[in-house]
Amino acid sequence: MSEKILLSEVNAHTEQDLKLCYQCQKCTATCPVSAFMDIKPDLMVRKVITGQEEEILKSKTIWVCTGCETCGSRCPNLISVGKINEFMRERVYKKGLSAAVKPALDIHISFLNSIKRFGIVNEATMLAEFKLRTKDFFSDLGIGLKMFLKGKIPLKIHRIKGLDEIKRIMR
Amino acid sequence: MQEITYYPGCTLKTTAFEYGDSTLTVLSKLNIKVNEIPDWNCCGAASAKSLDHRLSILIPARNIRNACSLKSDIYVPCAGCYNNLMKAKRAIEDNKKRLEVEKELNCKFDYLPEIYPLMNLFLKDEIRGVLRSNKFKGSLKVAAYYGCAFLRPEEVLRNEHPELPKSIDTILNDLGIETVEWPLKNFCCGGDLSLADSAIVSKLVDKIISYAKEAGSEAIVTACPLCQANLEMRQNLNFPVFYFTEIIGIAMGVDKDIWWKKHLVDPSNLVKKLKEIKG
Repeated sequence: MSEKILLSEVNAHTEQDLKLCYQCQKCTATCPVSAFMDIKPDLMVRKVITGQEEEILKSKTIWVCTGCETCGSRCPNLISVGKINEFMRERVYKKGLSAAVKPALDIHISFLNSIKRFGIVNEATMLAEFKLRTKDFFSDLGIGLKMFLKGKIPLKIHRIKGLDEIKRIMR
Repeated sequence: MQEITYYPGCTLKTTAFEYGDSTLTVLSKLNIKVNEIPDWNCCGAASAKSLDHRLSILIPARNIRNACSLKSDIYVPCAGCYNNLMKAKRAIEDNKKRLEVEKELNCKFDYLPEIYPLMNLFLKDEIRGVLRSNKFKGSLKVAAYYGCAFLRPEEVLRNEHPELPKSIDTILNDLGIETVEWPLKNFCCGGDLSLADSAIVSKLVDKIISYAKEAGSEAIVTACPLCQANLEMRQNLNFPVFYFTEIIGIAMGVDKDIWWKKHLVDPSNLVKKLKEIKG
């Protein structure tokens, strides 16, 4: 029974019909990052159809997917595995579960918090929050410094005028 | 004088400063009046859609609402912004979804502006004419690179062919620059995975740069700020990566030294060459 619930939720949310998949595996063949996935794109479709939600939510795949939509663009049945991954990422976040690729969730949370604070993204404070969340202070330090010195990460804070509306939308 | 509505997006003022400044400089030279969307906000990037579908529509939709009073087409330089704005636009075009958006944003959409990538502006006949009269004279081969978000999902964007995009190639060809045929012009650069897992992105970027070189190009020319940043940050080959507006800027003689200083891979040699072959 539960397998049908997951499939119908995914179909409804992603506005596509996973049952049309005939396993040609073009999605996996064409995905630029399938080599780094623990559940390959074609298998992801199968796991939704058979209701293996827990395994999907624990997977690296949903975080490694860049949302490039190459799968959806080349699928003969117009199925985007990227849209499934997007739906599943939201589910991990909303359920408060831990993400298999934690920095990927950390960056999204830091990014949305920046929008909530300023209405736009302030790179300096967003990256600071990301570093605090990951507790990894040394990765990309050189590149970050180079960008800062080139004036690409300004410290000046700008807030949009309609910030209250943004906060209301993001309640 | 032609007027456009302009959505710069966050990066064009910061990490992609040279894209933002070269865009405005070139448009001013072309006598096009640029009206920024009043009090625009972030488009939500990859984060709104990853964590909250509702926000991924409402956040960009606020920008479309704010643009309506300007009554002209919106041009968007950033691929990610363009993609998110188009998804919001398709939601507003849907009768049921529009009611939800209107309720949350306290507005009524009686009119919807068209939303285009910035490249489309340079494909208009009168501007193509100007580009053609500013042709470079001399041989230079570059690789036009589109990435993902200007092209896919095709059914949402309905603009360029997702497998054989031509806009950046056409602009460069109009300027007399030869573009190479290569298979990775619509391959993903790794996008926002760059901060979460840089090792994967380095592999993708290596592949893109080496294919561009293999095809005989001397530089990559792109229009996406995230692609440009990843291509410069995650390579070790010192291969220059330009924004297409920077090349137009050189052709029209309005380029600024500050653009080249902002690049993480020093493009000076190629800038020198471009200036030498300028018509």
